[in-house]
Amino acid sequence: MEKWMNIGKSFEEILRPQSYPLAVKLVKDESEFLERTKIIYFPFISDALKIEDCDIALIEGCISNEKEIPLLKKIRKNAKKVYALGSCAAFGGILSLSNSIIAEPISSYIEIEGIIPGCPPPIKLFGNLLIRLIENKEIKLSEKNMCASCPLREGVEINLTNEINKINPNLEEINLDDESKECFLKRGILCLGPITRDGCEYKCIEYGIPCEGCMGPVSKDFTSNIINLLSLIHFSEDIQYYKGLFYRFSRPKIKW
Amino acid sequence: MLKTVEVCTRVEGHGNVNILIQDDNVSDVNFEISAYRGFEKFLIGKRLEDMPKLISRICGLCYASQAIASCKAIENLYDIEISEQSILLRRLLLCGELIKSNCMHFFFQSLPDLLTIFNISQKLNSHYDLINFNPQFLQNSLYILTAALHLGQTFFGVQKCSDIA
Repeated sequence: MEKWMNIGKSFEEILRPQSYPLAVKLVKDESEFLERTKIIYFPFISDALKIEDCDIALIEGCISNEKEIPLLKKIRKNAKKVYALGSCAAFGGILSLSNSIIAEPISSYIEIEGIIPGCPPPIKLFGNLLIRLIENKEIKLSEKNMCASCPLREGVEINLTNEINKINPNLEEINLDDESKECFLKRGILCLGPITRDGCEYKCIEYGIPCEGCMGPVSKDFTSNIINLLSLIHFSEDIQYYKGLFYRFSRPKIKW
Repeated sequence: MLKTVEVCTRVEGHGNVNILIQDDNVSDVNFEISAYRGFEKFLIGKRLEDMPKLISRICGLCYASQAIASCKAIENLYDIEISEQSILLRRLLLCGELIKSNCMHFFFQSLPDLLTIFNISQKLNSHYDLINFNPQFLQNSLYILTAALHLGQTFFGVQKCSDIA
């Protein structure tokens, strides 16, 4: 417990090395966070229900219900900056796989200033972006793909001749030894790293699970990313027709 | 006459309360937890190995329970017996979630009401009141929360950001 009690001076110092400092920061009396911020609408922990004018609004969750649209527009009217937090708000999220309900990202209804993607948003990314927001700076997301700093990057050829025949590794194939790790695509397992935005902490990959693409595509044009990847790899027949591989978190953003 | 409380605050999720009043008496109360999400429909046709991944996205707070439930359903289907080690690992993961969830619910959601009910404090309307009420107490509660989160992170891998917000 000791290590979480050492609270440094600068905001950035605090959020980078440790995992959950924001919460600790929040209850420190003399904390900068409390001085600089005032949360005005957060039904999860507070009873205040009036939406007043504010600087920053973070909205999470996709819009799947007509009743939510007036609230969304009200927040937009009252907030100077609106950000979509999480893949559901940013791209539509996992609910958009469903045909029976319409799950839309919030950008379909209102103008937004930026997104904080991820399912869930990586803790360091979220913390750092939040600090930037509090300091009144623009948020910047990485413009590289996951492969750029992937721990399995070494020795990967660009020409992937292997047939992709699996979407998950078998249990025996999950190898957590550092030495014998190898790129998923090279082993014939579909990994969406090449088309997914960098910025997560490679938790899935470190635990032997390929990337699912929850951080969303690298560039704004979602569809061409996927087509580019498809031109590089060969699918085996049984996963060729499997639905929801590439747009698991971002179906509303794909142009058919 | 039907009275509706539009947004229920301090619940994990969204909810409405419908109170039906007849002749100045409450005749019926319904607690509505909103939204059909469609998981049961879009999971049809998905591969079994994808299930825990997709299902743990049902909820950002109880992801571990959802994932373990889906694993158990699959094991039930194929009569798979899992090892002692797996059971223990799952229990650890569930413990993390249980501690975290109960801690969050108690300290942040029901404590303000309890303090009022037992006449310990005035009505606390916002989290700022709660922080100012006893900063050290709340900080300690956050340490419990943090420990529980680390437990989940160690045995599940992905950490959930929403837990600290």
